[in-house]
Order: sequence, then C-alpha cells, then structure tokens
Amino acid sequence: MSEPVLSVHDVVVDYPGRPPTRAVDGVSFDIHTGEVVGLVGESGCGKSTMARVLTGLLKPNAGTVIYRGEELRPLGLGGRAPDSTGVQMVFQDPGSSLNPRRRIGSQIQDGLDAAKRRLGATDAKDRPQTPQEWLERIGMDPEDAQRYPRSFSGGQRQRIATARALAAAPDVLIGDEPISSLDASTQALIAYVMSTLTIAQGAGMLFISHDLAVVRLIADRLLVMYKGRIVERGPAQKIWADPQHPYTKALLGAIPLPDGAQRMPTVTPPGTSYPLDEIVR
Amino acid sequence: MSGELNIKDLKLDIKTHDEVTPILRGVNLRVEAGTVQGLAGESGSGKTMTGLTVIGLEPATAVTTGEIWLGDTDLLTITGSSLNAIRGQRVGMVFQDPSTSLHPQLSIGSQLTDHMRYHLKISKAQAREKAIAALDRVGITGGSSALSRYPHEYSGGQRQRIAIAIALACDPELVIMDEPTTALDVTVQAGVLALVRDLVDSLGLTVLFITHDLGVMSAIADRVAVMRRGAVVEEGSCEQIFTDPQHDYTRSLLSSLPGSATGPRTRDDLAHLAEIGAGGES
Amino acid sequence: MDIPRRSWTRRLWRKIPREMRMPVGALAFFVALVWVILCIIGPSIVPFDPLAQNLQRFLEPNSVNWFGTDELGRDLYSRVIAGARITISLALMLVVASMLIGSIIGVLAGFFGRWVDEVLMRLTDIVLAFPTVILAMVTAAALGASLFNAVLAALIVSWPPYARVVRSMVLSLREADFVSSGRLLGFSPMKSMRLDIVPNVAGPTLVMASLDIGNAALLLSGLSFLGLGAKPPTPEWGSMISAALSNFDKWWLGLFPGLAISTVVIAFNFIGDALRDAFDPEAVRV
Repeated sequence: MSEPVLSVHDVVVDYPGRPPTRAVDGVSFDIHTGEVVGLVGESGCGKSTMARVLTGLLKPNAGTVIYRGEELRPLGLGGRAPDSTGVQMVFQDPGSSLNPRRRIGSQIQDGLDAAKRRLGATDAKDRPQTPQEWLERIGMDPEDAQRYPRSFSGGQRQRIATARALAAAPDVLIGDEPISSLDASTQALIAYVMSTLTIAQGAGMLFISHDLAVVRLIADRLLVMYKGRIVERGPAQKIWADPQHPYTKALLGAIPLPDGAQRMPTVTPPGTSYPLDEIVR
Repeated sequence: MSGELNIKDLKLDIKTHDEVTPILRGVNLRVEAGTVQGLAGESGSGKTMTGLTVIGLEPATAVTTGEIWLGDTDLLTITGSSLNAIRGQRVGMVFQDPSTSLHPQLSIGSQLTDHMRYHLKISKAQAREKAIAALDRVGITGGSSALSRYPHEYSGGQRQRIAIAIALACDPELVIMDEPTTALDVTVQAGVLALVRDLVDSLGLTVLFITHDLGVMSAIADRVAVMRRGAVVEEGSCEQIFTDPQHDYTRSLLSSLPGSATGPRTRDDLAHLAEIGAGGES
Repeated sequence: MDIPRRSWTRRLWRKIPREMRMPVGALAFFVALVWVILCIIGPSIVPFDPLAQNLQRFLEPNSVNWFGTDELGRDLYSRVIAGARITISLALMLVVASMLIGSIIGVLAGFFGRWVDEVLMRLTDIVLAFPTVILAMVTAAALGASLFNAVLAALIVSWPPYARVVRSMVLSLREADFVSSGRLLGFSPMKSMRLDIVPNVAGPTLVMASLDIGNAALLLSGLSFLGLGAKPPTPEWGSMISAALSNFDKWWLGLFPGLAISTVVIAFNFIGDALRDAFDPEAVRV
C-alpha cells in the first residue's frame, strides 16, 4: 500500500482532574488516500477526542500525528500555518457548524481561499472553483449562496459544511459524528454523500460515529474503540458479518434492527468489562 | 388497572402575537391496555407534542381541540388540581434525557417519595418501603442506601431506570415514554428496552412509546403509529408496519434505513437512493 | 441577557401591572423621542438666548418665561431645552465609547484566554472594585473640572461591565463548531474575531448599550452637580440644580432641570425594560 497521508502513533490523551482521566490510551492507525475509515464506539470511548487530536485542536499528552511525512503542529493562539489546512473536519451539530451571521456562499469561499493559499495558483484540479459550483455539486441551488444558514435543514447544513471543508482541497476529511443529529431517514444518505464527495476529491476520510449500521455501509475499514483503545480493526464488511472481539460482538448484538420482528437486542449485564487486547483482521 | 387511551381528532395550534401555527392536525390513536403503542415520526412530526398533550404539559400558548380519553375521563376537559391528580398518578412520564429530568440536588429517595406521598396520601415510612420496591423493580439495587444517593452518582442508563421507577411509583395506568433511550449508548439502550418489555409483561402496564428510531421501535412496540406533519398516516401491528407498509411515507422512511427489509444493504444501494433523491429531504 | 447594573428604574418597572407595561413602554419611547428631537433642534427653537442675562432675576413661571428666570436673569425654559443637547449627546458619546472600549477588551480576553484574559480581567476587576461615582469624582478632580473631563472620568468607570458581558459571550462562542472550523481553514485570530466572533456578539451588546443611555445621563449630570463637569454659564442640568441649591426657596430653579433629568433617565431605562420583556418573554413571568 502507498504511504499513508495521515498516521497516528501511540497517541495518549489525559484530561486534567484528580486523578486525570485517560481518554485515549495508546492509539495508532493510518488513513490512506481514497479510503473511508470508520471509527466507531460508544460515548466516552475517546473517538471525539481523537478527532480533535487529528486536526490539531488538541495536543496529545504523548504520541505523534504525522501528516504528509511531518508532525502535525497543534493549533496555538496564532493562526494555522497554510500548509496544515489539508486536514479538515465536519462537526456534529448542524446548528453550530456554520456561522449564523454569514451567507453560506462566503463561508464556502473560506474553504476555496484556504486551498488557494496552500496549493498556490498552479492548482488546477477538476474541483469546483466557486461557491455556486460547490452548491451544485452537493445537490443544492447555486442561488442559495446568498442565503443564511437558518434557511436550511440540518441535513442541508451538514452538506454545506462538507462543501466548505472540501473546498479547502483537504487530503483528509474527518467527520465527527456528522450525522447523529439528523433525522434517521437522512442519516445514511448524508453519510454516503459526504464520503463519496471526499473520495471523488482524491482525499481520505475518517468517519467517526456510534452508529455501526450506517458506518459499515460507507467505510472500507473499521476501527472499533473501547475505553480509549482500538480493540478490533479490519475490513468493514468482515467485522459486521463476523465480529471477533467480545466488545464488538456486544456492540453489534445491541443494535436493534428495523425489521418488525419485535426482537430484543442482546442485553449485556451492566458493568461488564471486556479485554483491551486488539484483534486485527 | 385499565389504561386504555383513546385520542380522537386531537388538534393543537400554537398562537403567537399574530400567527397561528398548527402543530397537530387531527391525531387519532387508540392504545390498548397492557400493550406498548409505538409513536414514530421524524423531527417536527408532532409525536412529542402528542405525548405532552396527553399528560397536560403542552405549552401555555397552545390551543387544543378534540378528546383524549383515559378510561372514562376526557383528559382535555380537566384542569387545575384535578389535572395534577392525573399527572404522575394515573399517567406517568419518562423524558429523553435523565440528566435533566432528574433534579440534580435532591436525593433519589425524595424524588421518589415526594409525589407518592402527595398522590397516595401515605406515610413517610410506607413511601420509603414502596420506593425501595420501585427501585428494585427497575434493577437499581442497594435498598435504602440507594434512596439517600443523588443522580450524579449513577450512570446514564441507571438514571433512566430511576426515572422509570419514579414514573411507575404511583402505579399509573399509562406511562408515556418520549425517546427514553435516545440519549443512551446502544449497549445500555438494550438493557432499558428489556426492562420496559419486562414491566409491560409483568405489570400489565400500558406504554405510549415515542421514538424516531425505527430500530428501537421494531424491538419494543406491539403496535406502531407513524406520524407526519401533525397526523397519524399509518397505524398497524409492528410486523405489518415494518414488513408490509401501506402508506407511501412509511415505505420511503423504511427504504432509506439500513437494516430494514427494503433498506440499503451495500454502498451501491445508497448510491441508488441518492440518485432517486430519497430521504424525504428537500 | 443579564445586565450587570443595579437599577432603581427596574424595580419601578416591575411594579407596573403587566397589562400596563406595553402602553408605558410606548409612552417612554415617545418621551425619549421628544428629548432626542429637542437635542437636535432645541437651541434653534428656544424663545430666549440661554446665556443672555437680560431679564429680571427670580421671575416665577409665567406666560412669557414658562419656567421662570434664574439668579442671573436667564430664561430657565430656554436653558433646560438647550441643556438637552449637552446632556443627551454627551451621554450617547459616553455610551458608545464605553461600549467600544469594553467590547475590545472583552473580545480580546475571551478569545485569547490564558494570560491575556488574566491581565485584562484583573484590570476590569480593579476598576469595578471602586465605587463608581467616587472613582469618577477622583478622576475628574485630578483632570480638572470640564465637561470633556467629566465624560473621560465617566468613561473610566463605565466600560468594565461591557468587558465582563462581552467576554462571557465570547468564551462560549469560542467553543462553537464554526469558530473551530474557521481556525482549521487557517483563519488568523484577527479574521476569526472579525468574521466569527464580533458579528455574533454585536446584537446583544448594542441592546445593552441602548439600556445604558439613561444611566450615563444621570452619571454626567451627577458629576456636573458636584461641580466636576460643566462650568458656568453652560446650561447643563446637573450644574443648574447645583446652582438652585443656594436659592432653595425658589422652587422652580431645581424642579425643571430635575424633571428633565428624571424623564430622560426613566424614559430610556423603561425602553430598555420594555425591549427586554419583548425579546425575552421568560423574564416577564419571573
């Protein structure tokens, strides 16, 4: 396989407190160009912390994040260096992922400007070059560029936020639970649109979600996180069809399916704890 | 315990200064005693407002018409202190987020016993005894020591169990559960769903279970009503709704949902869905 | 939004029966509007020159000199109307300046956090720790008595509440996803503040400022009353009341400037209370 575009080595994150809470406990993985990696786990497993580490919004206590062969610098008080705008993120809450007081056209333009600064004028990929073209690409009306975020639904806002992030021509797009606040019937669709656009850009994607049923449809590889560690990793379909780690099994068994069978999901006794050894498929 | 609920042509408008916004446009729903009636729908469909209106918690600016029969009482005609007697005693309610529905600074014991003593007019000792039994029933152990604890000492799933214990404390005929598992992790959700099913089967409880999550709905509901734009578009047995939906809206809802009979199973299915513009979003 | 100013007019407002509040608010708006118009056109419509001492001294109010005349034979009506321009325009200036200074400090402290926040907020706390009027008096006394110095003195004590409120708004805004998203796109701190922060705190801050005009007028008149602001013969309400003290048996000398100050303060503050009720119906129920 080619060189990974983003790789994480033994990242550890502690949140201050007495005693400090270990949110991420030695996590390593790679993201390659053109692949969708799904990171799944339940609340408190450290998956959103990983998103902040990967974008430089949070400095890990130990470990490194390598982006294109160099260590990613955490965001300080100053601005971000133009060459590290190649890692972008779509956030969870469609209500706050866009500035309510700016037209969406100029917010998408921010992304285009970032791409111009990083890649220079020589960049001539077949990417939309105006906010209007981007809106068309995500299936919206170019006229919408003049409107403000409040006139769009949650799903539309997440599409716009995706366009804004992708307009920056990132090498990696991170989605931090980008669909979990949306209506159930739009979740799978928006996840698909986001991942397809990202791959079409020639970028890699890390899709973070607690919803395994959706993630397995769009992800090539899965990382299952539990208590700050990755406990199982491998091809998405393989893990979905035949989970090996006891935690993955419990997670899959607990998902209720909309099949009308009135089948109760498998209950694990409260307080059950699982081994932290990793299974690589 | 009867618990049969019959909602007839329930309409609800929200009146602001000069605007009238219709929220419910004629909801008809019959909930049989001793069953779990699911109420499904996307955000803005009016499912939550229906639940709130049954227990008399609709906003002050709401204007309602229609009938809500619990046994032989029309809940819509009842006001003031007689409404209080119904709320919490004949009808219990469980909300989505137990971290805000439980009072953070009152002990579990006082949250459980206060309304029991108010409704049932029993002594403190009797109420404590009943409270311990109620906690035991929902799987919160520790007996009397649990009563002196506070919500923050429990996990999210345990808090929701406590919220259920509070809703059940006065032996209500009907319990309204509004997205009771939405804030929980799936592994915790499985336990709470199993508890609800167990309570229904063992106590003969009647539950109006409101959720947008059709997976959860399929697991817990005996019958399912699908709401859209303030009205029930389809009602039927759980099996019929999921395997043989009659209404176009139910069909499109299910076809966009991974795991349903007609839902996407592969990436290519999603590509097809995206092409035909499914998802009900415009 | 919480305005960190204790206000006696708020207590008065709360005593108004709920159904009467909107009419009272409308009346307050009308009164304030009249004062603003007088502030603009006042000096050109007064019947007498407010500085001319060519009338009989201590005339009681009559059909020619509506508010009577003062100890130097000046027409009191003309002086009160002319005073509107001085007090209200200075109050506006004071409010705008304290809003700007307070907002800049609040945005910087909230956005950068850490030591920037520590330094700026300790400074704010120090100023807030002094009793407002005393600190203004000390400043005005040190700078010398003049209207301009009174505004400067009032400014020194008026900006900290803005800094406090703006900082807390920025603190929660800084964590908003769109701000992080902007930073990921390489926004400089300046651009982040200009595009993402300032437009989202501007609205509430402007409302807060509009509620502050009445208090600013009161503070400026107070300083003039103490002899630290306007100097004779400037027709300033505070100094007119001060002068009236030495002739307290001439009731009209103090009454009319006093009424002018009270109506301005009450009108502007009531507008603020009415606005708050209209924007925040929850607060009405309290």
